[in-house]
Amino acid sequence: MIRGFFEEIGGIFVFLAETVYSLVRGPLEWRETLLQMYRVGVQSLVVVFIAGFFVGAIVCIQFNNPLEMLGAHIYLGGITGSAILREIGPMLIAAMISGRIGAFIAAELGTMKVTEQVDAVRCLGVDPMICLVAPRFIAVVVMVFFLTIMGLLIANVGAAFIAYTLLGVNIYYYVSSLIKLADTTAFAYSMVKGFVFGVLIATVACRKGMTAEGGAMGVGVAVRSSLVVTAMGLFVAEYLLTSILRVVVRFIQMGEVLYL
Amino acid sequence: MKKEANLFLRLLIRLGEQASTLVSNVWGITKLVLDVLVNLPRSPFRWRETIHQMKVIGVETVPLILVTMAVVGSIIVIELRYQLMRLIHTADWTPGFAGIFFLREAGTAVVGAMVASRAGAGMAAEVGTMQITDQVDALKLLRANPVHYLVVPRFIACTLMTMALSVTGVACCVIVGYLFVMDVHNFMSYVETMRKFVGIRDFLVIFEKSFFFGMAIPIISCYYGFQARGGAQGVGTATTRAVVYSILAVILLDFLLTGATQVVSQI
Repeated sequence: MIRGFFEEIGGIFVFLAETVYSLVRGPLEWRETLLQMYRVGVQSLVVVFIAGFFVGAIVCIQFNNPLEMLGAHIYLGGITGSAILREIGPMLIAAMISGRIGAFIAAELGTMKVTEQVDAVRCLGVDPMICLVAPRFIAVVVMVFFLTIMGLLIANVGAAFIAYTLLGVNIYYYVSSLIKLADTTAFAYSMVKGFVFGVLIATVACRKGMTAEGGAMGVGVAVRSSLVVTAMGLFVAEYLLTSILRVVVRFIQMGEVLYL
Repeated sequence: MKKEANLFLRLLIRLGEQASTLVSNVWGITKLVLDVLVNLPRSPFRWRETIHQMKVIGVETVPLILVTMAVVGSIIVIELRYQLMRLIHTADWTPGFAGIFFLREAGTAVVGAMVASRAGAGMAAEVGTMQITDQVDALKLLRANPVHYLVVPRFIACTLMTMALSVTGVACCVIVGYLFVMDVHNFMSYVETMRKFVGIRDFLVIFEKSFFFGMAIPIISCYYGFQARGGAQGVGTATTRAVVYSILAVILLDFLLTGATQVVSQI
């Protein structure tokens, strides 16, 4: 089991390296990439909007009670917005996309693999990494990045809406503390996280699809293990990124202090 | 002019199609809920199948839940500690805030999402494969009700096991969260601070929420499993839909239950 765990991690990084190499080497298939972008991005917009709005509302309601107990009610907007930008937003969007797109890519590529369509592509003298994997990879990475930004906006709108209607918070206090506490650093956090999560989802889903074996059952196994590995990987990546980014930000701030 | 009218018409047709799909899916899920509730008390009760499903849904998800919730617990504590240091310039109250998130959100919604993406996908794939290989029709020919035979055991197993997994997840969160405030709290003061903010009511909220999540996941997953058409591709689509709509249902139910609690507490 431990061995399988390390083989999984190693396999993911090797596959990522191969994908990046095929991106550098080959001509990118623009038409296919645009089609995949439409499927990944535009068709996920509604799901991302609904999930983002309600998750923002939930976070706002939960922060309200303890802040009221401490009498720090005016910071509600700042603490909610900051938590959404740093942790919850990117995580949530990535989880929705991995359920929707990651599973779909794993199923599609897995079906192609077990029905030997991938071998057929190779027989035609085309590298399947270039014509199948690279467009999906690019589409997922780019679209998860932009969907994260859209989702963050909607989540903040949802939080502000519920704070105004249900909790009766003054909207001017809400927005002013939001601007003060959820600063550019928090926004940079969410963008870095969106990018890394996109790479993670794309790599795991494509790898699970391309390594599927053994008929229709194999496709099912590939889809399910892609979901589980992505979910676990997202949480672990979230933890690692939070720690790393904090150190990086501290170094930047120290540098500014020294420089000025 | 004509082309623009055409475009408008096409948009309208597309919206109508979407709306009718939504309505038919909601109606189908409602019918399945009623069907399950009608079939729930009917004999024979399938002990063996229910216990097997409990093993698949519950026991085999425990490692995933433990790893995920350990990471979630540490993220929540680190993040809240940072925020509170900025706002009230002390880390002493971190366990209280963290306790609220552990008990009310992390222990229920995150566990619900994990169960949806693992057990829900498994159920949809299984039922979907049976559907496209005509095994569901074979069941009907044998005069066995597919809802009673397939959905009810999964429904009971998933409802019970989601509640059990939620409590496990919260325990994992609380223990791991302690590691990140060790420098300002010992374990007793950690628990005492948490007790100031959360009480037995919040512990009951875990059961309330995970009860609803556990009921929603098998119904939505099995519904999309039964909807699977046309080969392995269909099973893949069914699995994807099952996972997405299960997670969406978890989020919506979470919002409704949280909002209801908030409104009740304000009155």
